[in-house]
Amino acid sequence: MTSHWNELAQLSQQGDKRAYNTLLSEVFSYVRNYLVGGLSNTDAAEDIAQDVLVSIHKSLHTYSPDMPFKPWMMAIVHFRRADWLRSHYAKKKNKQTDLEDLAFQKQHVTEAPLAGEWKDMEAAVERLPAKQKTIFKLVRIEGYSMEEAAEKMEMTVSAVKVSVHRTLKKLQGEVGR
Amino acid sequence: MKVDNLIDGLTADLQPIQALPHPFSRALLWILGGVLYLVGFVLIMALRADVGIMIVEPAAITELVFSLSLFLSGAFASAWLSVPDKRGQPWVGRLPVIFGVGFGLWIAGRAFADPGEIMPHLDLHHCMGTCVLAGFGPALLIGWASHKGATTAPILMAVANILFVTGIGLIGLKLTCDDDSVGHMLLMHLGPFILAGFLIGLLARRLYRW
Repeated sequence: MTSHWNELAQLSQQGDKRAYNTLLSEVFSYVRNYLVGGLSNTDAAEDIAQDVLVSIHKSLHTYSPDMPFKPWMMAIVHFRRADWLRSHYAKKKNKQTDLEDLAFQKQHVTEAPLAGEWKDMEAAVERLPAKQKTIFKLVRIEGYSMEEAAEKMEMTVSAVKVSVHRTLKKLQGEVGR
Repeated sequence: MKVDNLIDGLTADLQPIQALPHPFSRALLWILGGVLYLVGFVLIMALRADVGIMIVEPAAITELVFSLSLFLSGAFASAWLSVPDKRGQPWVGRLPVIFGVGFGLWIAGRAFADPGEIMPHLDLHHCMGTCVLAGFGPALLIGWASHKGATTAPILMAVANILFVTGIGLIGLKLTCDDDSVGHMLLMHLGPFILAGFLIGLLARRLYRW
């Protein structure tokens, strides 16, 4: 792939539009997949990957054909990602919230399939028997330790552990993971 | 799809490109420009009367060597930093910072060794204006030249540019101003460059945007 991109970049500098189109298409897929792992959502990865394409277009004259293309490109990727993150966190300063703010979490789940699963999970938890639901919420949502939950529910620690384990299994079966 | 439209648009916009020359060549060109400007500056301002005596003093030689190091390393760093991946040699971009720190330690050492020289007369000295003249041309040159590239380290680029300009300015001032006290050098020669560097550093991301 690396030498293939070197060739495409050199042809692009000579004005070969077909080579350039191929290069940009392949770079976009690669960069998008590279970024998805480290960012909160795929929309951001797409936005940054598009910024990278524009940056490559603007800076293609700085690429030296005697050097490998990929490190040159990755320097631009890291630069644009840092730019995006800086802007993202600067804007989010007044949007800090607790993890328990379910409305905020739902608003920021931008993937349609994930948003649907979130709603399914909520509904599945609500359908649990009262005691099982309470134990699960104490341990998994409110952050109580097993010991603290056991004390609160007047149960043994092992009973709480078994309850949480069974609840997880049930939820996995209902939501489909 | 949105990205397909973007790629099609960029492809349609493609023209044959003249790649930038090797950063070494670019740096040599800027150094030549800086030297020519320095010669012109010295001709306008006139060499100091005691230049023959100054040029053999160890302290003066050290300061000229440091200034030359800043000038040369600033040029090479600016050229390398114009390429997004610095041609795989990021250390070139850090050279002027290392020399700058060394120079700072030298000045601190001088100030410590001779504290009587630290406090200059606090008035508007002609050297402040001369400083602007010494740095103005090189600043325009390196600023314009750096924007031809595409830096991914705007703050480091700002530092490299400023140290390039500072190096030339200090050499010019050393050859034309006969006050060698450390206080005078700090406030009247270095001060304007430090202030300019601070301001440019704050605006670096905006100034070197591409």
